[in-house]
Amino acid sequence: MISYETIARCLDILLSAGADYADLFAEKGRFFSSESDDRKISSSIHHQIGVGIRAVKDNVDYYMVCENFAPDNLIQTTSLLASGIKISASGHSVNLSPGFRPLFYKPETNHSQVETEKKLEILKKSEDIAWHSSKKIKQATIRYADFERNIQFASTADEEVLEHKLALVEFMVFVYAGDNGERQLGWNGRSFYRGLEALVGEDSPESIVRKACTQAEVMLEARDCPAGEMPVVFAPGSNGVLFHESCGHGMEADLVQKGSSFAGMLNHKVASDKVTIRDSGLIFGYPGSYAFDDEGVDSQETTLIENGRLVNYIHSRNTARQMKMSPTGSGRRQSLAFPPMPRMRNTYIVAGNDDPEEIIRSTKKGLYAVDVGFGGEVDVVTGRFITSIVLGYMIEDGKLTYPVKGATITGLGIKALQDIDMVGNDLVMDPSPGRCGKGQDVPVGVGMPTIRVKKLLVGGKGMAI
Amino acid sequence: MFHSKFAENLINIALEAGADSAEVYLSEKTETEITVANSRPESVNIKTDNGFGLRILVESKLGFYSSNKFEELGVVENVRQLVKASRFHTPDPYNYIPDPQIQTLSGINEVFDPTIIRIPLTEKIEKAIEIEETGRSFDDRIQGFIWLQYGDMTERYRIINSAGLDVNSAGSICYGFGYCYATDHDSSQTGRYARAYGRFDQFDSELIGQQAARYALRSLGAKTFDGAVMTAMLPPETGIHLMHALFSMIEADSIQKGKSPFRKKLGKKIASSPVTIIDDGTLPGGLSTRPYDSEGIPCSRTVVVENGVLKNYLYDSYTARKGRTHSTGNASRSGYHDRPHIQPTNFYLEAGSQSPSEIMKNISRGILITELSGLHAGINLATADFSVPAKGILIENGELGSPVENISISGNLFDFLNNITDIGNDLSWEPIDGMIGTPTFVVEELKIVGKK
Repeated sequence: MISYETIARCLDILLSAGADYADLFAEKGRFFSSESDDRKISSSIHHQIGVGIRAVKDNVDYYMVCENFAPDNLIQTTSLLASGIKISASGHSVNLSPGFRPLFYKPETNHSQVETEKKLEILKKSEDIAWHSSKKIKQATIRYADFERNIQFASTADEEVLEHKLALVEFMVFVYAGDNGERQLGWNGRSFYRGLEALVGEDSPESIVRKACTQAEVMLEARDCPAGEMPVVFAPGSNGVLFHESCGHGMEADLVQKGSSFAGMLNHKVASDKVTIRDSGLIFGYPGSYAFDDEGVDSQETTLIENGRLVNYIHSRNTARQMKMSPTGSGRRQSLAFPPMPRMRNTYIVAGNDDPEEIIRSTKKGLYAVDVGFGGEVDVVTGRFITSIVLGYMIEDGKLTYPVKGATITGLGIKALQDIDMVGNDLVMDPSPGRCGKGQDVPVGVGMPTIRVKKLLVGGKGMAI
Repeated sequence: MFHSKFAENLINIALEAGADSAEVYLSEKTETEITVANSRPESVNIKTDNGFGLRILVESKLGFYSSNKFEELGVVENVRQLVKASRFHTPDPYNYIPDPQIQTLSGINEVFDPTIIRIPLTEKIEKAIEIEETGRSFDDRIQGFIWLQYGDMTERYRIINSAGLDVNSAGSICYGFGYCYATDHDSSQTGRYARAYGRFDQFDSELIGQQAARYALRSLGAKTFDGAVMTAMLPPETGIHLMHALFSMIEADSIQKGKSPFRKKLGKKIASSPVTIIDDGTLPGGLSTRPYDSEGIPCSRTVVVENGVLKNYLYDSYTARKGRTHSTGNASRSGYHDRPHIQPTNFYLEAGSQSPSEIMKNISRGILITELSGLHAGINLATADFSVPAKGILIENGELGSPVENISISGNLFDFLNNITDIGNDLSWEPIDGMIGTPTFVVEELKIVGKK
């Protein structure tokens, strides 16, 4: 994409201007998305090329984008950035060599080589399944998307030029079921760093559409969730998004430096003994997986909490240097247009020893959360979080009784972690279709076994219990 | 503009490749984002984003292609592929590339400050540092800022289409955001404040820093609360977010697709009599004021709710055709790569005449809702039911009392709107997908859920 000579020249300019560290992130991306909305199919193609140029001086990140690969333009943009750093230093020179990292995965099907017709067929078929699944389905939005991003990366830290291609496929469905005036939402989706071959079996479009329809129909039967403090049992899998929100963000080192609730808690007990949480970039094909991060650091599996003790944070190169720790391979950026920052990958709670059925059986009165929905929000200082529970069931005398809707749960991240009193042996990893937003959107995955939190505040329209 | 000739050619390329009609949105955009921590910049990010979005119709089937690569050779091949792919799309008679509209209102001036782009970076960094310093020095209990940002955006765009439309416009905005925290004994609280301006010389770092500080301080020592059904007062910083949620339920697309609880409610009373809600893309000085929307349709003033009665939904050209009406000029794009979709322009709850403090005097027992969190997760757009975590300050005999936390407000938006009794004179705005404005207002009988 860009010659080694030009890259080296740009890095030299930045080092000469006094940068402590500099990197170049070149990207040529092709994004395809197709949507069936109200039974109308249309699609979009988007191409973007450019180079993100970064210099770090005294822990300040300077970032600029050059929208093409022409050497003259690149050098001009780099010089402009260098003039912002202002402090001059002795000249350096960078010797670049090709970096070799074993390919993490190779998609069996190449997105750009699959006929658009074939992708639209998937939508047409899904559309039929959704609209014909029952008379109750009144509206459906189905989205298929894929992208291929060719990336070239070089930094002054490694003096090597890395190249790789990220290819992702995504499928998502939202349906609305209705009786009379009522409308209830059901949704499901998958996202993989793989080719089309990932969407099979349980992850096939057909299966995803059916799950969404079933959810919307159950929601029609659901009653308003009672409000108040109660034990909450979380179903395994996608509910892991709750821990992504309530705790994961607070362990991202940039937020730790700003005083998140996990600041200064390293080696402290922050959760019950039963809790071990990991953030992994190494799960094949999952949306948070890659061979190396967007700063050229090898990906890894990072244990964040081990048997209740906080053992690590999530680091980019910058935060690791500032906190004198090791980078965890978590420096991620949405695209060439953004500088990297510490982000989660696939975050999950490790399986425990409890029998999931026993967890429900031993709960006298509480809420069984099936789907916590689209994430939520967390105040990283206090650790207070909010998540909606799209669908749940009441637990009465150790049995699931009726479905409930419209609940939100709030709590304090660390308090909730300490209140976990049972952890199931049934870990389910979920390649969530959504993106994690932190100023920039990146694909992430989540997972968890069945767990019980002794006490959480549930808000809902129903009577208080 | 930079690539104007290219854009004009693009229409012909699309028609030659087999499109029946075509539209090009050409945009030049520059953004600055500066974050500051401990009186020093932490990141300085300058982004240019220039590109084009091509919308085509082939036998009333819609296709979209966008790129920042202005090379005719590659584009020809990609447009051909798009035309080919579009043939497999679903025909939709309401798909439409708008005709040029003659009846444009004159004297609609967008807010555009061409100097924003030329202000030296050091001056912008200085503004952000000022936010932090004014916030910190406001009170000893302010510990610092968790997130502090100065940002600006300048955009010029041009829309041309095969029906002969050719319009251009520009816009600029600069904004500051402060999210600070305060501690006092064993209580720790956060406060956030955001404000946007059309011109750099209006930027008020002191206001942003001090308001964020005030908001953090007023919640210190917050206690839990048993909950009750009571009178609530919503200042702009919380009311705006509920208005934003309301917008997504009264835009024509969600109505026509049967997703919104506000469908079939036109002409019906959906709110109490003092409630009048307006979307006005022609509002003098409004930060979303433009002569044209993102499809080249003239912007307009639309009364959405008048004295509690739902009068109008908000439309782009597609939904207008489908609904056999005129577009209200609410098509918007976040950039060249975004298809037009319905968004607020300047969308606001009309102000009343009394000041918030006068209104508060009439409340013997109530609560000021100072913060709502996670509204996107807490409101069901299909049913208008909501349950949203909040913080507040109790009102006793017309005066602010003790702060409370760990509460949530819940109910249904219809009841909520029907229970609005008083509206203040302090209309304030925030940029959320357009500009949203509300004054302080009072809602009777709001359910506050707390700790039992």
